[in-house]
Amino acid sequence: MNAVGIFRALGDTTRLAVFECLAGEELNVSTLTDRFGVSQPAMSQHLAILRDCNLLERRRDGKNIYYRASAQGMRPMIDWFNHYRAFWAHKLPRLQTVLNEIKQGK
Amino acid sequence: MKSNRENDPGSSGRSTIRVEYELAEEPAIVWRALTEPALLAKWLMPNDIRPVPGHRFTFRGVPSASWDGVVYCEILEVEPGKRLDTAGAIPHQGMNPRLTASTR
Repeated sequence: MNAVGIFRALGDTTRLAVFECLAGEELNVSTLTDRFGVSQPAMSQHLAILRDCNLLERRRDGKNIYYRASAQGMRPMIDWFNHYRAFWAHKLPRLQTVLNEIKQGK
Repeated sequence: MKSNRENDPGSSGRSTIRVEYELAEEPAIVWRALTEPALLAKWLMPNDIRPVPGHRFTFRGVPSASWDGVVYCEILEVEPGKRLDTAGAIPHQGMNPRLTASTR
């Protein structure tokens, strides 16, 4: 899964809140449905979208299926951010070199 | 040179990554590194910058699978030796890098 899919999945107020909630505890669909005040089909749809991006882990316990946020799921997004952090981390020492050269009249 | 703040959501909201650096050098020296194409190219990317409000220029980076390497920019504001504000765009990535430099 790439960063675009994750941004799209989390770019919805309810899904982002569900994901944040599931980062703290493991819950089943009916508990989530109650907590977020949406219909069960709507919640199932949100969970499916988050799962498609590997943002959730699923555990079956009897008739219940429990969801929680996947620790690895955010990886592509973290990589995406790191790419841009690395860009400036790489360029700024070069700026310092150029500044030093200007000072020395090179 | 030290990093002051990173990923500060700032006033522009959640969709902005903000990286801020403070430089110890004289503004006149920093100004040259930011506004002379050859010096700017040495540390950032090849470009055709001119510190004139409204001037449109490009940075030419190394192309990748998802980027043709071009950053389209425009000079927004110039106060020689004191303040430079540029707006940029990487269209198909939907990114708008903005570079602003100012004296304290």
